[in-house]
Amino acid sequence: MADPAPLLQVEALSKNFALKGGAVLHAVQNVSFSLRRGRTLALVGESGCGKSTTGRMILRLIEPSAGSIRLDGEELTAATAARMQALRRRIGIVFQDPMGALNPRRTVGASIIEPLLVHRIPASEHSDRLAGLMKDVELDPDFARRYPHELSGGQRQRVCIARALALQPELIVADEPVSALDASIQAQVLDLLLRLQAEHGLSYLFISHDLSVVRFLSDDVAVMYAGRIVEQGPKAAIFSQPAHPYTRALLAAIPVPEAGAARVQPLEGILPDATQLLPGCAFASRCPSAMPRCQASAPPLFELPGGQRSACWLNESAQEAS
Amino acid sequence: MEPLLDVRELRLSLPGGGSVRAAPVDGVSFSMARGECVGLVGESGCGKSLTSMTLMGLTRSLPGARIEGQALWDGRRPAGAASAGPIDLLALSERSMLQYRGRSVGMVFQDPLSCLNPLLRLDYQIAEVLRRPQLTDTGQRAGLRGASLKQRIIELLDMVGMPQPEMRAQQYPHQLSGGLRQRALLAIALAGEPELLICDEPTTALDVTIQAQVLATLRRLQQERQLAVLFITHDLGVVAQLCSRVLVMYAGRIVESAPTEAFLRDPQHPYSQGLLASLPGRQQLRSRAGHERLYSIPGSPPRPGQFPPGCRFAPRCPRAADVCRSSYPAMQASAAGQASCWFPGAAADSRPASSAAAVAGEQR
Repeated sequence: MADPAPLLQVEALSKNFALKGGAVLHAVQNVSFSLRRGRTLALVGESGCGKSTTGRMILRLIEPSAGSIRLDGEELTAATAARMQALRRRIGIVFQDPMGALNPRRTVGASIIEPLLVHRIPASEHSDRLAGLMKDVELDPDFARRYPHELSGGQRQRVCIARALALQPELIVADEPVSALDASIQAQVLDLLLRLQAEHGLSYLFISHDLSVVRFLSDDVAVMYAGRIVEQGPKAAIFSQPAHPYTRALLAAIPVPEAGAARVQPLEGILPDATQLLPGCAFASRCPSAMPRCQASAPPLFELPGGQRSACWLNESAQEAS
Repeated sequence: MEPLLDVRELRLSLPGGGSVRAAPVDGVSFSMARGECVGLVGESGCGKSLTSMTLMGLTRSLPGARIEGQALWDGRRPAGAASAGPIDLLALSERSMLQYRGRSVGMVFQDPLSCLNPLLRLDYQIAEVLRRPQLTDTGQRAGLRGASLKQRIIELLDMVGMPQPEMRAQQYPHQLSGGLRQRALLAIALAGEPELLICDEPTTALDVTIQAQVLATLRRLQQERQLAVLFITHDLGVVAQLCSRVLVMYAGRIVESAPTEAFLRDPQHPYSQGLLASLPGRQQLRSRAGHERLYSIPGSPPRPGQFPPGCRFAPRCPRAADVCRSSYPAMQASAAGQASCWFPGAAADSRPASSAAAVAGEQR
């Protein structure tokens, strides 16, 4: 689309895992998206849809099976180990469970400066950088000497965010960073993420199952189902005129904490078996509008007005003449 | 009519460090009518799960646990139990409690995988309950055997919306998806035909579309069977779907009790207001220009054993005054419900401590 130089450009990314007994699990299939500088792209979907696998492939924590990942024009999938190590300075990652992501035997300060050691930043800079990072995430400097178990969940996640920021990255992959936090603490961390983005010009690839959080934080949204992106586009379009039946079902299933909220609409059925490659649309078995054609062939992403794209045969007629 | 369950000043205290005792549940009172669905909400560590476990007699074996208060039960009771007036569940011996647990009061926990025995088929796990004598409205009934046992298992699985119940009954827990496991657990809880079902975060581990399936099932069961449900959750969206009344817990106490609709429209306690304001789900599509921030309650909840004197929310409260820091406010009527706050009311009335106190003073 009309975007000259996205920071991150992912094209036709796929990941297959070999299972015992020769079966193949198609975790991510043909996923493409781009992320502009200073913006937030949310990857949303339910458990097992492939969103976390996609996020990890960006850092090559999981090796892609096929496809291309370009950071600022440079192909990551072709980078040597040494080059990749250098490129990882530009990408930070924050995980869902901060307790699991921190070494329990290391002080908070030691965890935050670990990336500086790995990337051989002169020791003379460490204490200044640590102080700056802790200030950035609004943690009391005294916490540097404490251990993760002495902190609350929200404080631990701030430590993980500080560590992700240590090498002054341009891109942060945030995998469910607020899902394990209580509502009042979640709001604090979301605000922190927004402030850091504004101050440091960060781009976020924000992976979440929580559409209300995504609605608050993101600029663009990509909805994944069974390893594929079924719909993507600007946040406002996705939430106000969802084009794909799965996006509509997902939105209708969210219980909204408002007086007089509509009853949530259950979506019957479960995810298809990811070891079977279906010829048709993966959502067809649960889709209220499925047609015979949907079982037979998989729809491509159709371009819709307003920059939205949807992989549903129903959108074929609505696509923009190109 | 007497409430089905009337909880009065329930208190659970456990040994803290040294001579201190911590009370994660500290004077909880509420009642439930027959067929009523009540949401008990609060954040991690507020004592909501321990409240329900204490009601079920599951905390009495904790080392050093001291349980005070009453939980008056006015539902079905086993033959031979004192028949006049409500029975205090907390005063029952462990042996007597067995007669109630699972039969008068059923329970569904958050994590279905750790509640189901991985080595046993579903039909066996449901049959465990059905083989025991059942309590019914007309008294005791012998446990089921043989064909009637089998039939009842299928009926129960069908009732909770399990597809292909005959086939599923013969499967093991690992063969079921998360949503189906949660339904299996619900079937086990309903096998004892309880009048009250306590659900502790039953949908938290589920995806939203699956959560919606389970919520629809619970709503149908509650209406069809006149089941009273105490629904413990941190998710106010789920409460809005299912519960007619909501109890908000903070630091071991209930701080607000109100009909759900009124609560969502006009919460009275500053904690409830902060909680609702911090939910991104309540924000409509808002522009990011100008960096609109999400409201967040400053600080974090106190831990049991470190509760401040006076109102426990005072250190985080935008309208805390001297009185808040020195004495705990009693529950008092406020709008459509009750709140335990010296200055309850609309968030718009929230102003610096001194003027809020002055306004409150004028109103009296």
